[in-house]
Amino acid sequence: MAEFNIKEVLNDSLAFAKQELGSTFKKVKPFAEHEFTQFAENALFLAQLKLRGIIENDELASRINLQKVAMANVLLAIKGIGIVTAQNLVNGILDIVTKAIKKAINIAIPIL
Amino acid sequence: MKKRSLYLLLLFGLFFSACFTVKFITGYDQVLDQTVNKMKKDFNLHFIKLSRTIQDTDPGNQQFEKFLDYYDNLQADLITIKDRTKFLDGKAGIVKQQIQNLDSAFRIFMNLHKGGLPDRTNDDRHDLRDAVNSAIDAVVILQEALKTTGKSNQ
Repeated sequence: MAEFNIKEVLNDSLAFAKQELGSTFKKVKPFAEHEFTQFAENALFLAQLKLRGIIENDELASRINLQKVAMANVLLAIKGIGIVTAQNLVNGILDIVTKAIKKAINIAIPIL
Repeated sequence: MKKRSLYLLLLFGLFFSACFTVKFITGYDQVLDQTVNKMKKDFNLHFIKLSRTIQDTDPGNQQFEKFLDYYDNLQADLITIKDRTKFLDGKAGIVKQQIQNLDSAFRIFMNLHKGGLPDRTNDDRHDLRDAVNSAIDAVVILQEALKTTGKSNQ
């Protein structure tokens, strides 16, 4: 019977995890950085408008509320991408294990 | 005997892994993605036109009623995407919440415009444009991530 190489499967799985997590982090980082910076800049801009007496409390509240709703969507996107990554990771590793088992069984029982 | 047990274990493993892929979150939705991208283009065109009117000396050209065409189209698009999320599966909680937030963001923007946007040379309202774009981009970037299938390249 062909060998089912657990060490090889483990190495392949770890390499896949590293690659998957790395690419996700690269994708999310510029988006998150841009959105967080913009949120902070806009909050400062609105505070200055209020301090200079250009806008009243009601308008400030509405405009801050819009910023908060937008930031909530950004955070949901980051959370969702994290879940997609976890899903891809589990399915990718299942794929690696399936292929390793198939390879071992095909050699051992060629009729399969 | 030991060999037979190993065969059975491998067969079980094969059956288990072949039949079982995990799903933690809903899949990509093309209609949602395309509609939201269209809403982004429409909104930015609207904002360019509107921003011209809020920094001049004419206090009447930015009236909400003069932009009704855009807001009618926007309402129709919001109905489309909200109805669309009704048909998504049970793993679509995050996407549904994003669409609700997007709807809230547009409603805050609309109410601000309805309440009047007085001419101000020192307030271009770029925070409004940024926030609506961020709310849209967040939906788009998640839809992009949902396009991936989760298969390894081994």
